[in-house]
Amino acid sequence: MAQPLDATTIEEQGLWQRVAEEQAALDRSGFILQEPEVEAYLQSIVDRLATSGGLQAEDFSVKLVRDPTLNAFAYPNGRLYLHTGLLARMLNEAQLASVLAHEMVHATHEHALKSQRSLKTKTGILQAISLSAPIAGDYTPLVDLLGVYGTAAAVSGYSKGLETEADEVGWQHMRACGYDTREAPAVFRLLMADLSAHERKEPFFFGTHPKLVDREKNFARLNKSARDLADGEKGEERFAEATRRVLLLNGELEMRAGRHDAARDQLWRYRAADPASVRVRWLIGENERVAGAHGDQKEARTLLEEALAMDETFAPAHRSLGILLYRAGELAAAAPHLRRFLDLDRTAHDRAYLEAYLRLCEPTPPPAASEAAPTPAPTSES
Amino acid sequence: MTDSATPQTAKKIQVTANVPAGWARFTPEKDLVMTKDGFLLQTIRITRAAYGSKIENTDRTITKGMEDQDAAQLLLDAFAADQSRHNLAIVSNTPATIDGHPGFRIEVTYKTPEGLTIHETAYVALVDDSYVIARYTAPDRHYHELHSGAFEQVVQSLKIAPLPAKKG
Repeated sequence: MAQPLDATTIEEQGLWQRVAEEQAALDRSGFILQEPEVEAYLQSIVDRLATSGGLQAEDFSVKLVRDPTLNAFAYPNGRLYLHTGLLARMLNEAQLASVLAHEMVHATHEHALKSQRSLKTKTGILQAISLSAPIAGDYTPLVDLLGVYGTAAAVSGYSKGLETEADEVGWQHMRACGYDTREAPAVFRLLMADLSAHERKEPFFFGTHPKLVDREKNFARLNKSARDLADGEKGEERFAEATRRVLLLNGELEMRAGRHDAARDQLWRYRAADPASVRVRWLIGENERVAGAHGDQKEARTLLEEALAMDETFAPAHRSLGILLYRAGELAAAAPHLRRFLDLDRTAHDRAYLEAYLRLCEPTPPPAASEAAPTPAPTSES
Repeated sequence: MTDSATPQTAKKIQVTANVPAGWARFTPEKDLVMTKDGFLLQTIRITRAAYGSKIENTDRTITKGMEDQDAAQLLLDAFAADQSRHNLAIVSNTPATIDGHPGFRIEVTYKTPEGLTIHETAYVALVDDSYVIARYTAPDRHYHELHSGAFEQVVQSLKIAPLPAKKG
């Protein structure tokens, strides 16, 4: 397998310069997750895949993007990006390795440069993105963020031939590492089922049904040609331990994006791995609360009360429970939680709403007769 | 451009606002869009959306009868998920009344992918048949503060009429 692209021609140097600028913008965006343990784990898999393929491990690096959509992409210089949304849906290390190996091949086999040569101009690349990714709709914000090369890699992918090459060489690397390659088609079936179940349309390559079908078919075909598939490693426990924080982080992102079913799934998986977590109880309860008619308000209340029983100073649970009780008309029960939240979080951005609720929960009693007389204004002599 | 504030109506959305003196109104008919020195330096945009329209970057919608606090949180979550708004910070989030309608005011700062810090203030009026958003966007440095008074006057001047009933 070839190394990631070296800048040996003027054309390549231009591409590298552009890629470096795009990566710098992405890296300072605030969307790159700082989770050293997860990053180290991802890097260890990339290193393992690289070494097994006779590559220099240090030529590859991987970063995690805080985003609940299904996406992973590679720049031609060996930098890989993986969205938390994709990682949170995977079940084991072999599934993760299948996606990372596929992306690494895009870098090592110069797919960006080959695409650039075939399209000739930036305009051509942009046109290709708009033509090949119709569900992306308005792709301009993606180009703003990812740049032209990042968008090409993340949204439209490359030509069918190049994508198939990435599947085939990636599959070989999975085999060389000893991974269970049956998990490669499995992860794409998992993603397809997820998209279908929620009738979700996503802008990125790994969230696009036809692209997933292609991946699944290619990996299934490759598996048919191989022996000893059952001997491969899945790495379920290692994966669960290393990535469980991502379930908590991405579960909250899913909730805030209104994907309450995905949030519920990921947060409960996290809770199973960390039953003592107060935060996950709050998040599961809050997810049910904000899901409204699609949520279970009774369960929300139970979980929020559980969270507070474990840690009475956990401010967000007081806020959630206070609002839940206020909206249920239980004003006397809501008041202490709203008040406690406002005491605990002095900088809450929605303080004005909660103070208004609190005034309705705790109407000011009419002043006593002795207090009703106006207090004389202080004078300069006093 | 006029010497004094001039009422302008976007007929398709049935919203009228005073365009501040010295500001220019641009006419995509659907919205009220105005600027003094150019869109990159300050823009006020007033739009109207149907309840139930999907909010960008989320699977969520503002629905009729939604609490102002929930609608505000929804928009802030959508801003936070927008990858063209880097390092989003919430400056304020308060209930507000716009032309007699309940609603809210949110104020945020964020960086563009090019690194410019933008300051954005938005009022949202939760009207009977739809919701109206008035947004003021300007670079945080110098420009936002310079024209925020003009924006507040535009919001004060807003007149929101019911949308005509759809035929058929």
